[in-house]
Amino acid sequence: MNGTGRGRPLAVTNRADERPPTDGPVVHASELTKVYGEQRAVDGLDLDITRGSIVGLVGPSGSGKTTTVRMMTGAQRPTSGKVTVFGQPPAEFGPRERARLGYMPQLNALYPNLSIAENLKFVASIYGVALRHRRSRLRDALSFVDLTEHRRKLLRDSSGGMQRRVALAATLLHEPDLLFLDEPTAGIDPVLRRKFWERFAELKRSGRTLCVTTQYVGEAAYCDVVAVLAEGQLVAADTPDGLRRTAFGGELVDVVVTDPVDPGALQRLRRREPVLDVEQLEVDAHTLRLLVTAAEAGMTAARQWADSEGLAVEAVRQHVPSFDDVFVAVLERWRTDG
Amino acid sequence: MGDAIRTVIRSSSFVRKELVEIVRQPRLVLTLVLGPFLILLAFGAGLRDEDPPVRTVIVTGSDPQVVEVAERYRETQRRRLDIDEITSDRQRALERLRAGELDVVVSFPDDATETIRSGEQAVVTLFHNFVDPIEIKAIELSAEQAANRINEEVSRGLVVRGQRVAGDVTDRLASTRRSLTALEAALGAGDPEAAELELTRLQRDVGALALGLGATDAVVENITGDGDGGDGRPGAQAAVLGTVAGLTARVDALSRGEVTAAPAAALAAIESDLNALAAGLEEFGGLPPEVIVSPFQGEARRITEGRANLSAFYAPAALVLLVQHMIVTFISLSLVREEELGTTELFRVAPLRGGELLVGKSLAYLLLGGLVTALLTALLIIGLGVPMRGSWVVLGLSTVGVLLAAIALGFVIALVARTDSQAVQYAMLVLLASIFFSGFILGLDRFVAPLDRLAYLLPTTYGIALFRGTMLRGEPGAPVIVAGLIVLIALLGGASWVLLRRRLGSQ
Repeated sequence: MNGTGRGRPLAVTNRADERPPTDGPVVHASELTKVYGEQRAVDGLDLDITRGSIVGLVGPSGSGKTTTVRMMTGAQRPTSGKVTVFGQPPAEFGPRERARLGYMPQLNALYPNLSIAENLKFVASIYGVALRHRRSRLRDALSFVDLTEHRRKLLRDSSGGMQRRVALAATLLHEPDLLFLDEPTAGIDPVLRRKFWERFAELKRSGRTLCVTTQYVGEAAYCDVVAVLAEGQLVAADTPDGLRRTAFGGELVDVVVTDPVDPGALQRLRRREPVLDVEQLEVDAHTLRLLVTAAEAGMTAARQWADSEGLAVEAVRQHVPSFDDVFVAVLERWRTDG
Repeated sequence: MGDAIRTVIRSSSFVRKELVEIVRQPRLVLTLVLGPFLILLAFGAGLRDEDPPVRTVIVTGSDPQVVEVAERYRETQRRRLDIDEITSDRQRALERLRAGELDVVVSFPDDATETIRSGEQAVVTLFHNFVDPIEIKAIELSAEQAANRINEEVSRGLVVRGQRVAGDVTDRLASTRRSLTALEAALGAGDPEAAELELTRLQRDVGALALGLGATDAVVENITGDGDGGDGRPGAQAAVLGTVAGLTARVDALSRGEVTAAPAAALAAIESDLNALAAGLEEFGGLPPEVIVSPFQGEARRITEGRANLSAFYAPAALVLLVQHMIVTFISLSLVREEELGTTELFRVAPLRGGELLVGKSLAYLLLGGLVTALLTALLIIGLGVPMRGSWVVLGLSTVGVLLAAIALGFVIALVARTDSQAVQYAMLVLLASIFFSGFILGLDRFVAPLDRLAYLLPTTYGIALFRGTMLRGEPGAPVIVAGLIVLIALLGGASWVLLRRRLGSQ
């Protein structure tokens, strides 16, 4: 599935220049709420998805990601609040509007006794793709997910990763403008997950808008905007970098010195701009982690501080925390702040 | 591309998908076609037309006449009863019955002859241990028929004896004719002494004739149980006795000299009586004893041609039942599995209308069901010899109607069920209801209202009536059946559509 593989690197129609940018978000959710009995699956969610972006809905299992997607696709109606897609409530979509959506459900939603190609033909048919387009679309979609050689294989004989690729190809056959992909990378290996995200980036470059849910927090890095959900609520929504800053209150810089630093020197470092805080890592007393408002300025300030203190510095570098750490920090902060 | 074309594309996608999915499962296809046929074949080949033999012991006393009757009973019941022995040990026979070694014990009373002579009917008791009400009904009927057969056999013997006596009387009639001729001659010759002598002879012959005929009367009385010789006597025998009474009166009148004016006319009347008597005796003697004992015999005859045996009667109904069950199960499982696979969720988001799915799947299963029905019908006709007396077009239309109703029922079940095990359970309930209420085993008129209405909610009820009618009678039956099937399709189809729209709509 890599871009230099046997198939075409991107076989779906590029729509970046075909459709004029629309004013306002493609998806707009306001106070979106879904209640099942006593349980609030989604609770007052506000979210906008802009055209041509990849928005990741990240959160633990049961956080409301799938319910949010279902409301955005029109499969479910909100209990309260509202959601509009292309300016209309999706639950009231007619066939034409529905044909602009691509949806990859959490389950593969394909038939084990049909071959890969037969499954794709079936999905193309239920989207009303005309016979004259079907063959080329099928060829392009199979090529896009590197399954051309396996098209005659029965789905039940295909691996889990292959089945997810078929499901992705099925989502693309009718050339939708907006794709909702519900945990597309669930249960597949890291290499294939990366390839999936490469494909999503290609789709984005072709002008499509993607809303992707994932439990793999690390995949947030591939998104333009990450919306963190927990217990049905939107905890944070920002760019990946913005989310990091939000999580820790700034950016992080690590300074590795050769000799121990006395407390007075540390105090002076804390008073320098743009340093907000300094932490001496317990595992390595020679490493100082600085919380700064901006990483570049922080690194400059750290070098100047070391010179002024006469300290030998082994390294000064920006520390990019993993999204696991970011996610944990965001949730902790959200829970602390109430 | 127009919406109409898209609708065709979307509907047709289900036709292809459903058929390919089924064909991809060879075991399923085998089960689908071969399974029902093997069941039908086993059913047709295994079903016996005659009632199964009943293991029986006959108990009699020591009365040789009763033993003789029991032997005759054994002969007459050979087809129905498998008579193990004739014994006088009633206790042992009843013990064997309780132990399950026997099905029936036929017990003749010890004092049967005495009972009959005392003017009462002797009761032949048939002991059994059946719990099946239909079997009990059959045994009761059998006991009644057996008693009638015994009575007929006894009566037949008596009639034979009566006819033998009537033969003797015929000889005496010839002697009487001779006496009459001699009397006529004496009177013609004007010889009063000879005339008186011949008259005396005639009187004696007529007396003997009356006595002989009295014996036949007694015999016939035994047959009919009618002591006064009235309406119960067979016609020929009654006519003979009437003639004899007239003849005796005439001869007595002649001997008393009451007939003096026209003795020739009196003699002619006597001759006429003798002729009538001869004719009557000839008729009585010439009738077979069976006809005298049982002048009427019951016979049932169908007003249309042909006759179906038991397996031919049940086979079309079994076919309808199997095809309905197959279609209901497959279509309900198909929809429930789509729910479990997640494709229903995809359908909710896709530009797919409920009607398109309904039409697509219906067409697929109509094709499949039609093919299986055609194959099984051919196998029934060729393999089991089931007749096909009606129109193939009517049978084809009936198949389409029944399949559409079964498909719609399958949709309703699928849309009510949440899991495949629930769908299978509901399909089994429909099968059970169909076996009991559709006329497969018991006729529809055996059920009381309002439960008899339940039958009309089942496609098999209409299918069985239409298939049996078309194949066995040559005509589909009452138009109300066709109208009822159309209404059922509309009702179930409407319910399916509403439920499907709800299922595919936003939740």
